[in-house]
Amino acid sequence: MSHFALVGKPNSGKSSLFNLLTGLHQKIANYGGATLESKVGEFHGHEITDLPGIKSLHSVSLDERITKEMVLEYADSKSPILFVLNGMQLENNMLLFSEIADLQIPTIVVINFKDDLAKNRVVFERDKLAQALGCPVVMMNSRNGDGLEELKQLLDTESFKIPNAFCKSLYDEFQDGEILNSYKDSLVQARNDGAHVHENDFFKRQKIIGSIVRSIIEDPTQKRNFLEKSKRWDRFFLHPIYGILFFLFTMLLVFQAVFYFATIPMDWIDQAFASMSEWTNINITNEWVASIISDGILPGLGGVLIFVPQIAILFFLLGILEHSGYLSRISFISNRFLSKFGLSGQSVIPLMSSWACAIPAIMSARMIDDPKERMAVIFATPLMTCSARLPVYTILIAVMVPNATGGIFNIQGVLLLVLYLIGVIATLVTAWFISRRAAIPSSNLWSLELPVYRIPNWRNVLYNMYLKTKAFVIDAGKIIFIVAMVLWFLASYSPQSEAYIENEYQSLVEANPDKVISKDAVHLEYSFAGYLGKLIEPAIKPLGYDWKMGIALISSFAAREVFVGSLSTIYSVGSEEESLILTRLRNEVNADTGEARYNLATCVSLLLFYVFALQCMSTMAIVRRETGSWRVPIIQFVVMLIMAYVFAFIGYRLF
Amino acid sequence: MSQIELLEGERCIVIAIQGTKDFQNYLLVNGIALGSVLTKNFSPSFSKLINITVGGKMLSLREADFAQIDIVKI
Repeated sequence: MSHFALVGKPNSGKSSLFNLLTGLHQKIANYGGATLESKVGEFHGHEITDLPGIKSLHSVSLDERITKEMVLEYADSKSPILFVLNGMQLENNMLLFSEIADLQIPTIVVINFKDDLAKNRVVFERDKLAQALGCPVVMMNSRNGDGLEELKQLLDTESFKIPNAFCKSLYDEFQDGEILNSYKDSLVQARNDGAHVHENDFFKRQKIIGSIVRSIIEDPTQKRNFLEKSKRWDRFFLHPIYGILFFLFTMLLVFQAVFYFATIPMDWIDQAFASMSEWTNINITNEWVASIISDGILPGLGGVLIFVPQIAILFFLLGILEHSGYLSRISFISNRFLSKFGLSGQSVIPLMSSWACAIPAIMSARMIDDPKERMAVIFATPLMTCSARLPVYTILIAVMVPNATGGIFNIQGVLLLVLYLIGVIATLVTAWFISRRAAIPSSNLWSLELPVYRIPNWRNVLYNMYLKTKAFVIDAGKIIFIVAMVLWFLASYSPQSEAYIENEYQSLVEANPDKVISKDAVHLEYSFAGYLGKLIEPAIKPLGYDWKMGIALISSFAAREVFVGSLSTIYSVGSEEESLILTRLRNEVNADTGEARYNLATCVSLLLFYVFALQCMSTMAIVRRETGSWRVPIIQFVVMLIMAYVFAFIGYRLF
Repeated sequence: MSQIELLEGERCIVIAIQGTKDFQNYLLVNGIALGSVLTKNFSPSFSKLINITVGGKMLSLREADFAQIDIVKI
């Protein structure tokens, strides 16, 4: 299978074109040696890779440097590329094209946003441009597919051509009649010496590009008004009062929508898994098989899938903000506030993404130019409230306070908001500390491009939502599934004989004639999990937890979302139906005090523990890959565990 | 000339860039070099940022960074 890559500047419409070409035949992939997240898809038997946008082969941010490495690999293997240019920023985009053309990679050029060109009466002489560039040029609109057929024909016939060189001759030297490709060598060398552009190179390219553009555009003055509409919108969206109010209103709307719209599908998923568990217990006669399915596999899978509606809605809404151009304005608005914590507007996207999941958020920190700020974001991001914390919060809040309203507010909703705010404050304070203390040199480089406002391309928004949600389900699902299996085994088997447990059960029944003693609970107490829970009980007792909570805590160290599933297994619920778990938790009694086990103090303590603790193996693995060693994730884990313990202890004592 | 003297919608030309080599390189990558023509779009006081048009795109820079670019109004 032949393969080619899509290359272009950010906001050139590359991803829209990729979605048009591949449809749903795409997946998010990482390249070996680096966590470069690219989409890989298939088109008519060709493999297409959508590389992250890059401003120049001399760019400094990490994701752009990795894209540069990929482009150099394409140059080595002479694999073709599809270069996507934003037609409304032709001169600007051609600067990158000229650098890639000098690598002599077979290319087809796509001039995108044909509709904007027509609207602004910018007329290209396409054939003349193709002649000047030395490779085929297609005009298209990747938002509606206009021009796609012509591109498909060129791709089917593999009409890639090596473009004319721009400045290659400035670098190439001849030795013994052979060309030494020193332009490429200079780019490779630039990795080590700070990737500085030679000004002469830049001016020469500008001059050549300027003469090409002047020769192909009938009236270059026409497009000057292109940005005017966006500037007018910005008078509102970046206004010191209306702009900030609109931003706060948007955030409120996003959170309300995530909870409001997700409730019904979450209930459906919950009920579906409860029914499947019930069906399994009734219809599967083999007790062992029925147990592993209904107590292990189904609660584990349900624990992942129940988050899908919330995550999908969050990614959908973030997609709308991104594709409309508003997300960059949020970066603009928040820049000054974040600068007080050693961050900048560039951190907003990773921080907001972490409300869905810390993993893509940490990966998106690559777009941050300053290495010190990037480290601060990577370190602090796991403290933001990710969607995996939601079920833990939801159930503990429901145990702690009744579903009542205080004025116009739902008290449970207010408590949830408070927990989110604690997460944000903890993140900012940690980021401030890291940016002050980390021994990483700061590049102190910062800029932010504001794309023009557009009506979001729904196809792109939905594809993005689908791919990211799918990636979450698969990544988190693997861990949760394994943990659920291990927990099921530990909770189902015992180092003691069945006769010994039966004996203990009978003794308890005789000693407590007034109480109903659950046989399952006695089984659990003498299971491997029970012994494990009791082993850590002295350490967690100051926080108000017993050995059963200890089991749930241990099991959720790999992934915090396992906590609810573990509780449901531990308390022998057998399904994840919230009211059943709730009833069990509310009825649990502390044997020492005779009071409710899940009282206000214990719930506050547990909530604070989950606000701070880094209980996500996937996050640790991603941090290791992004920072290149286990040092940072281990420090992160220990620091957050200490914070969790201290705040949980304080919370327990205060309430 | 300082950017503060530049009003919204006014154009200027870059005549010198101060700062480190890394900073100059960073601006080059973003399309700002000697001779580049910039248009000031807006600089809301709360943000301490300045937004300019350069090479057909809207780019925001910190005011302190932009102060290192010497410009002449055109």
